[in-house]
Amino acid sequence: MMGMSSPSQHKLSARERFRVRMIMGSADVVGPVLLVMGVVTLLWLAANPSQLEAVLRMMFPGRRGYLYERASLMTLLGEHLVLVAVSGSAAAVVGISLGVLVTRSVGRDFLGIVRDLSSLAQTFPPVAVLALAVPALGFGFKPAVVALFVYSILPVLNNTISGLEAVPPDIVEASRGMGMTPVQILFFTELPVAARVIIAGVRTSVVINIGTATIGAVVGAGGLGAIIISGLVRDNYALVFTGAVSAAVLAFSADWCFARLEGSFYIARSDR
Amino acid sequence: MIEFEHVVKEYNGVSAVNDISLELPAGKICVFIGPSGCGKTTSLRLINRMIEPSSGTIRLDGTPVSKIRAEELRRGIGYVIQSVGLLPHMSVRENIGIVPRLLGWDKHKRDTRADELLELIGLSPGAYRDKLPHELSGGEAQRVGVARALAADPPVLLMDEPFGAVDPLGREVLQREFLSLNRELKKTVVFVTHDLDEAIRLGDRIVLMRNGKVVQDDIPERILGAPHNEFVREFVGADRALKRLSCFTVESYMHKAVFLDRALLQNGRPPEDMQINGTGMLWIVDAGEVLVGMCRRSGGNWGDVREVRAEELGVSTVNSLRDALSRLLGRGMKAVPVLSDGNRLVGEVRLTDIEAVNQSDGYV
Ligand SMILES: Nc1ncnc2c1ncn2[C@@H]1O[C@H](COP(=O)(O)OP(=O)(O)OP(=O)(O)O)[C@@H](O)[C@H]1O
Ligand SMILES: [Mg+2]
Repeated sequence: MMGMSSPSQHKLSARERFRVRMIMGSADVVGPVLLVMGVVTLLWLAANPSQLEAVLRMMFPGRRGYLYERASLMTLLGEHLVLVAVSGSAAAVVGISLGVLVTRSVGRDFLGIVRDLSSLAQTFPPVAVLALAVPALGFGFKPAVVALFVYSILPVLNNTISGLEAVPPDIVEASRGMGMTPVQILFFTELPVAARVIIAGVRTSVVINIGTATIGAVVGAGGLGAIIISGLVRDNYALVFTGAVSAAVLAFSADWCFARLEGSFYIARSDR
Repeated sequence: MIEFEHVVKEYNGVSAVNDISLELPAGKICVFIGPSGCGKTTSLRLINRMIEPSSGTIRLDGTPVSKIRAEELRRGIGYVIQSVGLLPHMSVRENIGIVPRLLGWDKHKRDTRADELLELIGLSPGAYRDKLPHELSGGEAQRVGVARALAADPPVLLMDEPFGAVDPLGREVLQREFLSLNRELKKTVVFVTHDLDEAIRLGDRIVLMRNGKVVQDDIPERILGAPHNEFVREFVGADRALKRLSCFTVESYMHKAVFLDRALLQNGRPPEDMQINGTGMLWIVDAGEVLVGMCRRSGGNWGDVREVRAEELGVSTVNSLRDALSRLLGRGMKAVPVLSDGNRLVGEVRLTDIEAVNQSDGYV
């Protein structure tokens, strides 16, 4: 019976395939598992301050305070997320709309200016944007959101423009030839083809935003920055550690979620 | 029926289409042909208002197209372009369903229609409807492009070099299929091509254009047999000559080539007293006779030895003289090396031989 092996013998069963994946692309499995563990731990500790204190006591023995007195970690996490969500989604909406606008024939004249302005915005340190926003908007949530918003537009805008410009002209031509209106071309053809690149821009923007939002505490916007700054001022590394690690876990989870979203869209290929 | 009435299209004062008047009968295939830049694509795109004429009128069944809203007009006209332009993020079935969707058909009707058309163009619906465009071969993509244009059963089909990117064999198959398809469907087809054979094979009518004007608008037999003027004769002749070259293989016209082992170069140059033939070409090979370089002699002096990539420079024994000619003209050489397996040099084909082949039968 030599050489008579049936083809099915060479097929991997689902279980084998899983094992191959564990070996070949272990990051596929290990990444999410670690991430979920991190998120669960963070939430659990935030919900149980006494446990959090116990953990911190173990890591930084011989200190006086381990917890931030003015707000619970849960509240700070919540504030941080609201800061990021409000500024980030506004930046995504404005960035994408602006990107669409300047790639239309009516807005093409502004393409250069918009690009220059938004790169300029990016060279401003976020603290400077905050400093400018405070006299106009006072202290607190508002100036922080505005600064983060301004700061988050560029990656979205940039990627929207390059994504749309990279749509092959022949498929736009074919779409027009089939009788699509300009709006239909945008929604049926251009945006879907550019989606992956645009989402990648939003991903970058949100991840940067989560880190930058810690600076919001300087103007009293709360968030994880409050606990970091308070720790720095008081030389209390337990607080700095809590704030920094929480922000990092948020950033990693956001990154992973957007990466998944990105992966669900069509990959633009150069060959066809 | 499609009518052109003194149609002019100018770009920056230069006319791409210069006062064309034509009547294209319903249910026939009408082929536009002519040299590159003569205005074929421009004429075609004027019909479905992808571009607007500078002056003149185009009528579709008596109605000026300018009176119909552009999007509505285009939904009623099938349009196939050389690059196909399938939407890359949509399946074959969704691509075919685009125009029906724009026309408001429900999903069930669209899907049934897509399967029906896949059947019609010879692709099994079960195997193909869920494929993405990048999973199709060039020929399959072209067929799907045609199916997509036919989806809403438009009476008119505009096709701009639809089979241009497919290899010659595949192209013939597509042409045959399309002919028998249209014998059944009886669409009014306007077809643009570069290829005279394609024009003759498909066209009920051939419109030969030059510099934005129609030179001869006739049935294929008369384009070939009763050319209006010297231009038509030459256009038909030059194309014929090239076609003829396709019939001869390199192998049967190959000569011995003069070559030199790389090891025998002296200070990077061939020996002064080396004898060569009239082409002035010396091929440099390695110890395994694989082509690695070339050197030209002009005015009794050797030029520099140039390294070459064999597969970019040479032709294989099974290539046609037409392939050899395009290599020759592309490089401005008097001979091309002929290579066998593993890029081993086995001979050369000379420009003089190719010219002789054509002249021997009174062509060119
Ligand atoms: N958008 C444009 N702007 C300026 N000139 C144009 C434009 N489109 C076409 N032309 C010019 O009009 C002439 C006719 O072009 P057209 O595309 O109709 O040629 P064609 O016959 O289809 O050529 P080919 O066989 O190479 O496709 C060319 O000289 C071309 O340079
Ligand atoms: Mg053309």
